[in-house]
Amino acid sequence: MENLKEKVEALRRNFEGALGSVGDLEGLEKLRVRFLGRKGEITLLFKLLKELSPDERREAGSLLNTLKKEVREALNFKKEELKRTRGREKIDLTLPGREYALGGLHPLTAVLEELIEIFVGLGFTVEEGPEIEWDFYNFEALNIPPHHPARDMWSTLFVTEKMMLRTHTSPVQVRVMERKKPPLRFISPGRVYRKDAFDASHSPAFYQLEGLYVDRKVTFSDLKGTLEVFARELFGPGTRVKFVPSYFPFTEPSAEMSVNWGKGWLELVGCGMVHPAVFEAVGLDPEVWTGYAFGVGVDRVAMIKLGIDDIRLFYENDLRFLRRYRR
Amino acid sequence: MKLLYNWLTEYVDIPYGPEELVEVLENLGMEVEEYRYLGQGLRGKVVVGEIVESRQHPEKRGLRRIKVAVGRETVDMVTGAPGMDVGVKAVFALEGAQLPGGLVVERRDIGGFPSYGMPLSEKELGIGEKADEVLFLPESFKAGDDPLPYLGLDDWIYDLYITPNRPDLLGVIGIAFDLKAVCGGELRLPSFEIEETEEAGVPNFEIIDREACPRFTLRRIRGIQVGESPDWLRWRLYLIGQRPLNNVVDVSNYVLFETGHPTHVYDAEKIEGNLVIRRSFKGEKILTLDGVERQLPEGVPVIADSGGPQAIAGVIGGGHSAVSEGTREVLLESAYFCPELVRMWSLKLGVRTESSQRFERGADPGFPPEASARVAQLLLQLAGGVAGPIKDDFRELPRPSRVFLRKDYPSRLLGVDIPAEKTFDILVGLGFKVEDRGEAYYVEVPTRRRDISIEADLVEEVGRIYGYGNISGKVESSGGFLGKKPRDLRHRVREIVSRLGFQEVQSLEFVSEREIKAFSAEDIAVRIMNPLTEQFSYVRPFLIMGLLNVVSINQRRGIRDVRVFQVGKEFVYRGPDELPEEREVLCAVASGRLEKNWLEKERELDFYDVKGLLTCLLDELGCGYEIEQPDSPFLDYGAAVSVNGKRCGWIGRLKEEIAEFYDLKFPLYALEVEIASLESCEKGRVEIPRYPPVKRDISVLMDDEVPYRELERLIRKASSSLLVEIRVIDVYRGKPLPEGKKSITVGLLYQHMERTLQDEEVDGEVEKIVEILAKEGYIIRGYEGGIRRS
Repeated sequence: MENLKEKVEALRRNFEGALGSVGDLEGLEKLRVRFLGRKGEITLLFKLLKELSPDERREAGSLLNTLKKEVREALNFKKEELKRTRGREKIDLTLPGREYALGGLHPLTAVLEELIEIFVGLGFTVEEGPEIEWDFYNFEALNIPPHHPARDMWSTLFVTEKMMLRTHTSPVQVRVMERKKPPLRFISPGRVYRKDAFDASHSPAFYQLEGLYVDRKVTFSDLKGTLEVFARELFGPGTRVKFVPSYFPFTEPSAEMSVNWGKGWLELVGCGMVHPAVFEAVGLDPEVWTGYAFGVGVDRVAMIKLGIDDIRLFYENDLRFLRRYRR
Repeated sequence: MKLLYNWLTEYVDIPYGPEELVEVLENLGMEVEEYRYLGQGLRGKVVVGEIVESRQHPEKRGLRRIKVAVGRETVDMVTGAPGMDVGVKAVFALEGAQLPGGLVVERRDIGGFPSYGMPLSEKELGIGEKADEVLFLPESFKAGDDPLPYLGLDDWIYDLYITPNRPDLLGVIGIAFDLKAVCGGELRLPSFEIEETEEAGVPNFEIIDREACPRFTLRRIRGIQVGESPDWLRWRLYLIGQRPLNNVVDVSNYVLFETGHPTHVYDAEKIEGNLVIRRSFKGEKILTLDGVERQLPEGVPVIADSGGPQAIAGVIGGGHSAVSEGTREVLLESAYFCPELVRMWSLKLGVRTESSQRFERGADPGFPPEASARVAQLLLQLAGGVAGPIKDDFRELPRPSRVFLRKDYPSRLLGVDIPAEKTFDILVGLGFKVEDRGEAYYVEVPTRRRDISIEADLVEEVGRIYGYGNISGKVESSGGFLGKKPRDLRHRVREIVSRLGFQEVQSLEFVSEREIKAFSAEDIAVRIMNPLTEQFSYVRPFLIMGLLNVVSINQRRGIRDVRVFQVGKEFVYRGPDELPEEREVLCAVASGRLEKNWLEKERELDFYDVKGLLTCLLDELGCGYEIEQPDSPFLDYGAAVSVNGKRCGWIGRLKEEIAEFYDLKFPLYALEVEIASLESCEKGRVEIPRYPPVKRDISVLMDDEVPYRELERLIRKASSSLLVEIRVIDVYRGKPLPEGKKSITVGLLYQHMERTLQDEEVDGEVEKIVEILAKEGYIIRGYEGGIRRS
């Protein structure tokens, strides 16, 4: 019995000494196994208990349990302390972090998607069409016969006499109306091409977003309302809009919408009521159906929104520019 | 179209100031591109001055010291201008004046004497071309007067964009008609009457081609004196950007801008025989007024005499019969030419003039006699002479449009309640004849408004004058419409690729002929017939071309890590009877290196950067794919990519020649995948296991020639469904391995869905693999838990 007491004391001293020299969690775990493990020193002492008389066994048991408890608590305490201080002195918080490569979308893509979202929210679906088109779809069906002076409004790049790079997204109107019966309500975003010199405000290729709504009793007032919501959604609730008469061969009446959100008036959208000749070209009765159409230059919207004054920056694709403006 | 405020108000009273007019014009559909006060910088600083003292400069010959009375005070000036004598009145600029050319007048020392101003020429005032003489004023002017009203500079100028449907607005009177509709009142039109003198004779002509020329009028004017136009006329033409020539040409020009109707004047003594209006014969020549000798193709509408074409109908006159100083007798043409033919030939010949611009958009077929009278009237006033009677020939002319307008139609189309009486007033105000026919108005539109032919056109007129701003916007319920985006694969692809560290770019679709040749794509590329520049003469057949240009720009600017992609179309020509094929593809390029930092070593971007992009994208979309050796012609090594068994792209290192062609740093790695081929991909159902997996590594020594894929194939062949993942952990070549060998270590992950796997089961699996590999001649360097180095 005395022997056991001494052993307990010796064990306690050993443990305290060993604990003091432990410097990391790994060492601490070794220590735990050495004392409390299945073949640990304290566990072994417990095994000796059965050799003692019942009274002695009770006394020694309580002694051992106390030791076990103390050891366990000391280990836990040390563990918390080690966790708190682990590696602290090795970390320099001011060194730069690991570099992650972040890609991103082109600003034009981001703005185009934003416009699409707005119109989808207003109940429009999305339609697309070819970028190289027949004269019929790009001009004739849109009430622009050959030698019509309005052809000057779009300087055209031709592939053959009858085939051209589409100058606007309006051919999609015709293609969809040929295929589907009204009511129709869709936008058609996409690339369009012009024979324009590449300068600060013109690109020979750019994005346009066209919208068409055809139903019974669609009015100019509906057109205005929809575009007003669009402008405010895009530039903020305080945005003012203005409609003035304009001319497009495929709309009558035609208008131009300008917006002003505190930086002066900017022309933004060409629009109007679908011209009866366009309905006739696709076999719809203009007495039954009315509709509105509009077109927005997406690059221009992006320039205005991002405060960029040279459209060429979008197509030059300097990575530093793209990183600055990407979304 | 340039418009002067004072010119406009000669015909119509408008209750708006010059600046308010801008908005009124815009609300009528005339876009004001620019406007300004002509007296800007001159007002109060430019005065009528009288020279009260004039002395020769003591030293410098040619300079005079003058004192100029400019009202209450006199101003000292030193000037080299001729004619600076006492008593002379002229226009002087004082200190602070800013001349239209940009010159700011300041106190200067000239030859040792201070000068506080200068006498001005027409050129300096911006009203004419005379630069070497001072603008002297008549006796009636008083020193100190403001000369700007007299010079036509106390005025505003507007640069208007007139839409092509409104040729009537290409004349000041046409604009006055529109303003009258808004402001009310009456127009003060010039008189189109003229006193005709029978004795001057009626000229003869013949219209041979009535398609090109539905109406032709001619008038002879004898005894004129060609000379300089009066100041007011020269100055006004100059201010709107025209070059004054002589009184005859200036008058014709003036009437063109006043009425919008072009006329032409021939020197009658240069015309042989009668004028005929016909088509040109092949090879006929004409020296046109722009000084170009043109050889005409067959079929150009011309006005010719017996010697040949004297004018290209409606486009430009000829030099031979042009009015010159010695002209005594003229033939005055006022006609109506076919818009389509004028447009076609002016485009083909490359001559666009003020005249062609008006005829091609549709001049007023009813107006030639009035235009002729107006020109003749001014000519008699300014150049003297007598005018003979007009000869007017036409058969069928475009008639005035007669259109029914249902009274409720404007409200129905515009969505705002416009009372019928309001509609009536607007149409009458525009100068249309309107009859009330009960349910509808019967409207006769004058021929000057060729843009109106259907009911909707009249609604635009009503809306325009009513004011678009007065129609309130209504947000209609979208009814049965549900806004819907299609399942947008292109968007998904962009998102995934950009998350992987690649930056999206937008390269232009155009490429140069050189690029097409470098890619040997002459047969499939879409060629533009009328390119803007050689650089933009084809549409790209491969998206990679655009990306290489982007890489080039960035490399030249010193950017080292270039990882870019674009989702865009490739265009493949299929002949003139079919539209080109348009394929939408993803193309990505990686080139350059990642800089070293304190945590990571510097590293070149390599093939595995694009391979990783490809596999990550396809896994993310759930596409099953295969890459096989046959490669693309632009790769020096690489492979074709197939998704769901269909070939749809390529991946690899670009050929060095291509890099050289674009002047790029080699190497470049790229991939391309067709977007549509990813359409049917879908991620399978995934069961998430609840039991822990068991890992084993195997290290295999094999021939360097054998691709990894072969090893993977054998492992899979030997394995049951318990094997859920194979991971390449290490690839090693070199010592101590023998030459021509490599060691690949793969990590294998085993998983049972319903229970915890026992070590023994997994060991059994690995044994099977080892057996097969050994049979195939692979040497197992180690397996189980860790790697035993052999």
